[in-house]
Formats: sequence, C-alpha cells, structure tokens
Amino acid sequence: MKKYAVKNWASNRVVWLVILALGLASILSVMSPYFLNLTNLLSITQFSVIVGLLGLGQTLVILGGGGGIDLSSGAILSLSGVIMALAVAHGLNFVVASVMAAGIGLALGCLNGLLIAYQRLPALIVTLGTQYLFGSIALGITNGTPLSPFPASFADLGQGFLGPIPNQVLFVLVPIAIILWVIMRKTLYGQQLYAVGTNSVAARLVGISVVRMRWSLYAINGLLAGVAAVVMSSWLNTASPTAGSPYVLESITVAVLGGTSIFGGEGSIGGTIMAIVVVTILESGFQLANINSVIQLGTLGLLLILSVMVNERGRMNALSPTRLTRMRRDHEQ
Amino acid sequence: MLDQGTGSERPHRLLDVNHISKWYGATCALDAVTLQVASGEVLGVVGENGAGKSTLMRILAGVEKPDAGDLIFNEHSGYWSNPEEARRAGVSILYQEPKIYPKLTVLENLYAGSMVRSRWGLLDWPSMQKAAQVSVRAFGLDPAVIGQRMGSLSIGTQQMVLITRAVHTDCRLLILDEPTAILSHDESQRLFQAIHTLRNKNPDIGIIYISHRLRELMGFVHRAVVLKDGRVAGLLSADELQEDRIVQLMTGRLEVSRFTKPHGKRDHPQDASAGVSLTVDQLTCHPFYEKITFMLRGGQITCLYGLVGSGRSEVALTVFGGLQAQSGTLRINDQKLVVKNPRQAIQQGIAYVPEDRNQQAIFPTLSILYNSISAAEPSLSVHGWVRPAIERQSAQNIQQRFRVKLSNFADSIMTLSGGNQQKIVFGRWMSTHPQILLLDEPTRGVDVEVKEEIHETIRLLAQQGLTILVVTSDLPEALNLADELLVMRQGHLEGRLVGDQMTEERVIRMALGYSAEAEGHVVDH
Repeated sequence: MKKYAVKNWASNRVVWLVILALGLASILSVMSPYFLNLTNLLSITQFSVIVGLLGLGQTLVILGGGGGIDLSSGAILSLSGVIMALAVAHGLNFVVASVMAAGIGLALGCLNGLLIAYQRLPALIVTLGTQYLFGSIALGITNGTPLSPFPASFADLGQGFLGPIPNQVLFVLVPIAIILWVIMRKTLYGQQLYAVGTNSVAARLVGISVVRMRWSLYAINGLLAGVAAVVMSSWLNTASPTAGSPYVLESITVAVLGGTSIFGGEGSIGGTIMAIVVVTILESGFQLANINSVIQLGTLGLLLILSVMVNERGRMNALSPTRLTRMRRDHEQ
Repeated sequence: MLDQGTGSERPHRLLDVNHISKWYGATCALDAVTLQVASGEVLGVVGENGAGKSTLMRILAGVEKPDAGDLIFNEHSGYWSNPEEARRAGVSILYQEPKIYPKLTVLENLYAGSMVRSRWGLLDWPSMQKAAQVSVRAFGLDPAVIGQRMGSLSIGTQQMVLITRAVHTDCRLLILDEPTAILSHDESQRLFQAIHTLRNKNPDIGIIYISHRLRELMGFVHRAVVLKDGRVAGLLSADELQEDRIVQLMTGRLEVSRFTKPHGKRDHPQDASAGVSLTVDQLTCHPFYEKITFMLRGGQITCLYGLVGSGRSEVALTVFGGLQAQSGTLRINDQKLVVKNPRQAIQQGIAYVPEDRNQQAIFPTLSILYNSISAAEPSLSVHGWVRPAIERQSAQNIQQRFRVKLSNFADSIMTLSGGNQQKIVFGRWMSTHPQILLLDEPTRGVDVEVKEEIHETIRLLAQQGLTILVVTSDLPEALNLADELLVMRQGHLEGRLVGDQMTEERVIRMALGYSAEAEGHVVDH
C-alpha cells in the first residue's frame, strides 16, 4: 500500500514519462543503428548530470510553493566553479577546493533564501537579480576567460568510467537522487515540505516553520549548484564564468515535465528523474541519430506544453465534483 | 414603464419577495421568506448571525439563486442568474467593507462597467468627468476627489463614492449591508446625509437597510423586518421600533435543548484543579480588539460569542501565536506565556482548530493520513525520520475516536465529506495531547449529526480536565456548550455570563450593544 502519495495522476506521470522515454528510444533505434547499444546508452547518461542536479534542486524550490523558483542556480554554478579554479591555480588541493565550491554554492543559496523567505521578496525578482549579480562577479574575477588549472587526476570524476557507467553518474547524480528521494519519502522534513507547498497557512497553524522551510530549499539548491560546478569543471577540465547559464531554463523544464506543479505542493523526485531521462534521450539521442538540433528544441517545447496540459487535466480530474462525490460515497460505505 | 405620476396616492410596489427558500445541503438558510419594498420606502432588516440576512441579500443581488419562491422586481418576475443582471436591472448593493477597485481612480470606479462611449466607440472621458464632478459635489464631496485613487480614501469616503455610483447606474433598489459598522460617528452622519441626498434626487428609490444599531433604524426606516432562523419573525412599523420588541422577536422560540441536555448538568471532572488555567489580561491588538480580559479554567468550556467583525476569532488566534498582540499578557497557571508563533503555542500544550477549514486547515493535495497526523508528526518521528506504522496507528485512533467514515487513508482529504474533514482537522490535535483547546467555529458547515458528535467530544474532553475555548457565532451552540459565556462586540468584551444568566435574550442584547446595565463589564476573577 502506498503510504503518503495520494496523487494517482502524479504516479501516472512517472508511468507516462517511462512510456515516452521508451517511445523516443524506439524511434531513435530505428533511425540510428548506433543508438540501441547498452554501452552507448550508458555513455550518454553523462550528459544528464548537470541538468539533473539543477533540476532536482529546482524541483524542491518549486515544490515549496509561494511562487518559489530559482533563476540564479546557473550563475551560482558559474561563480563557484571559477572561484574553485582560481583557488586551484593558487595551489589549493583540488579536493579541498571541491568542498569549498560546494560550500560557496550553499552560501549563495542561503543568501537567496534569506531575501526570499525572511524578507518576503518575490523569488522571481530576487533570483533574477542574484543571477546577474553572481554572473557579473564570475566574469569580473576571470576577466571573462575560462580557466583550466586542474591536475590530470581531477578529471577522473567527470571523465572516468566504472565499467560502462560514467563516474559522475554513479558517484554523484545517483547517490544524490537517492538521498533526496529518501528525504522526501521518509523524513519529517520531506513531509512538511509538501504541507508547506500545498497550504502554507495551514502548515503554519500545525506548527511548521514555513519561513525556515523555504529558506532551506534555496540553500539546498545552492549546494547542488555548487556540486554541479565541481562535476562540470572535472568533466570539461575547465571552469567558465558563463558555464551554468544555459542550464537554468532546462532545470525548470525537467521539474515541470516531471510533474512538479508550478503552484507548489505537487511533484516528486521520481518524476523529475524520469523527465531528466526523457530530456537526455532527446538531446543526446537525437545527436547520436544525427537529427538536427533545431528539431530537438522544438520537440522539447512541445513536450513541455503537453506535460502542463496533462498536469492540469490530472488536477481537474482529481478534484472533479463527480469523482469526489463518488469517492465520498465509497468512504461512507 | 412606470406610471409613477398617475397613481401617486398608492405607492408603487418595487420589490415583492414571495416565499423565497434556500437550502445549503441539509441546512435551511431561508424558509419561505416573504416581504415587500415599495418605491420610495426604506425597509430595515434586523437579525442575528445566521438568521438569513446575508443569504437574502445575496439572492437579491444575483449572487445566489433561490431554491423555491420568486421575486417580482419592477413588475418583472423571476430572479437574476448573475450579479451583472441584477445591477443592470437597477439593484445596487453596498457592503460593510466596500467592494472597490483600489488602484483605479474615483472616476474609473464610478463608471466601472458602465463607461460612457463617444460616437467612435472610444471612452468619452470629458463628459464622464463633467457628470462625475456634478454628482460628487451633490453628495458633499470635493470634486477634486475624482482624480484620486480609490484605495487612498477613507472607508467612509469610499462608501460615499459608491452611493454616488448608485446614481450613475440608474439604481432603483439600494441595499445597504451594515454600512456604518466600521465607520466613525462623523462618517456615519455624512453617509446618512448622502442617503438623504440620494432619496431627494430620486424619490422612487427603494432602500433595504441592514443594521443592528437601533438608533440608526429609528427615524430612518419606514418599516423593519426581523429575521430569525431563516424566517420572518415579525414586521414592525416605524412607531413599533423598540429595543424590547426587536429582542423579543429575535429570541422567541429558541430550541436550546432540542438535541441535548441543557447546560449545567454535565458531570464536572473529579478534580478541577488538575487542568490548567489560561489568563488573558488586557490583551490589545489593533484594529481587531482592545483590552480583553478573561480566564479559562481546566475542565470548563468557555464560549466566546460575537457577531461578525467583533474580533472574536482574532483573540483565539493571538493566544495561539498566529497574531501578535500590541499589549497585554497571557498566563498559564500564573506563569507568563510568550508565544511568538503557533509552533511555540503547540509546545506549550495549546491546540487550535481554525475557523476556515479550506483556507487554514486542509492540505488538499495530501492524504487523509497526513492530514490526520500533521500536527503530531514531529512528536511521532525519531530524529527526523517518520515512522509509518506509528503514524498509521495514530490516524486509526483518530478515525475510531471520531468515527470517521473512510475506506483508504491514502486517498486525498478532498474525497471526504465536509463533516468528516472537520473531524480529521479536530482529531489531528488529539495526538499532540494538548491541555488547552481553542476551537474556532468547530461545527461550521457540517450537518446536524456531525455537529452533535463534535459537541459530545468537546464535553468529553472537558470532563477529562482540558481547558476549552469555543469561539462561535452560532448562539444555540454557545448556549448548548458553555459553562461560561463571553460576549464580544466591536472589539470589546461586552460581558461574561454563567449559569442561569445565559439566556438568549441577554446574549443578544449584549452582542447588539442594547444592554447598558451593570453586567456590561467583566467580573474580575
């Protein structure tokens, strides 16, 4: 028996995304003889890590409700990355520098949360502002040029494989996804996150600190962006002051495609993970099948709109008067 | 259309309300209400909370449809299917809190929905401006006001603007729903002046005036209807308008003990001192209430009664930490209590069932299980890890104790009926083991059977020694439950009644402010 999930249609969402992923995969395997090959498939998962980390963080922020969104996570990634590179260039050990990068991400996320949760400023504006701010600091301290001071052993994380599986997937994305999934399903924090997202007034009146909860979401998102900076630097062997910017809108895309309601309170880690799979197949798979990237983006746009339609339809059906009446009758029997 | 000129001896009938009935679920809000308003007449409407005043007005304004009966307005029979239709037919309604567009100018507010257009279909601002200036001046306002933002004006001035608006919309029936309830004395005077101006300009206009202030009714209305339990309890002519007569009609046949034994016979706990006491001392929170002092005792049910806007709910919310008082103190058993937020209140053993279930209590997308244990979850978890088996056990206890009918705890709370939702919202506090229970309208929107079950639970909890405050606007409920009854009016504690003092008449007098007797002040403990 399901313990907490009530959203039949949201778990349907995961099923729907699995079907979509299989559909895309079968189309691609017809179009490209190279696609349906386990080594290839596992190898393209390396393109899912950055968008995955930012997408999971974005999912939490949006789930918390109250118009929550973080447009600055890409800029946090860039800034933590270049500071880390500068530190390594000045002789800091790369392991220590990696921890520092994650810490910088966390601190920048805390700043967002402070402004949004404690000062009650709108998230859209605050993170738009900090996006520019963090981005310009990153450009300023590097004079706009990418930095590559990393030792060869640092590349193991981003470029190495354990068997056929990329290290960054096995040692970063998968463990983080599992940890978040456990937090959401098994901890008080996760349960209270859903409560805050779905009705913050009621949440406050059962003793949940809504302000602290929302603040912590931006902090976690910042931390994940910092981790993403480490992975990206290792993967590309370079820290660029604009590295993160393309990933912001993609992180919102996977969150929404994964079934996260933009109004908060609805969504799941599983849904976002499946959305990451779909987006990765679309981007890397299409490339592998030699399909024009213009079509990729158009298809992604269509999928996004379609997924919102499914979301809304699901919500309507779940709360339709006829369905509720029927279920009320079932309860009374 | 009207032949007002010829038959001037016999007043033209503007509105006939014929046997209008309205049900909400099993509750009858209006029971075959019949009344008339002649053109040029001012009809007063008086009634307690839930007597059916607002329902009647909503039907007249086209917001709701009656279930039976019909309206004849201006010789047209039927009812309106939406507020716009009512407005076009000439019905204007002025609520207690003005419904305005705060960001738009007074001019735009005056013409909202009925803008004057030029030949080319564009808005004709110059002529609107000219007409507005004339009419605003006629109502004693400075013509310069029309350029100001509506939201920047005082509520009194906003009301005046809305009355001016009634002239522009060719109003035939003006409904005033307690317009002076939140106005100062001067503002009220200006409002009455404006209504007089309106009647002079348009002698055929009919006015329905809802108010509890007898002095306003006297000398202003031609007749007054007293509503009681959704029925017309009486019709008073201008010279019959007396406090005693109104109170008599408003009380009359109250069936206090229809469902339960009368108050006072409940078994009191063996050891009353076992429970905690809560003292509220000179608590003030502008603009809601001022200098509220009372004491709750263990094992006792205290009811806090008041009309809408009396500040009753805000007092309870303050004790729970949801609202911060400007001055005054709270004490539990003579120990000072400081609650900055609900979490601290819960830690102090206080529980709170809010007034508005949907907005303040329900987590609509979450399961019945989570809704049941949401308040107790921190105490049911270990180091932040939830324990599903224990949570389930706790939810099942609530289900059994409150006899909630449900088939699957994993379903959304929205799949339950209102009564069962309310039981869950109440029940969620049982596993936090509170000592003080604050219940704001604990039986709003539930059927009679559930209401009785909830009352039974409240009595049982009092017997176990809990300290209970029930905030209610339902007088039979208050009389039914209370060991002690507090009455609030306009932010002040009007009085405290115990035992045989708790009569319907006395409570209504206090709530309306008709009692100037010695009981008008709280007895010190």
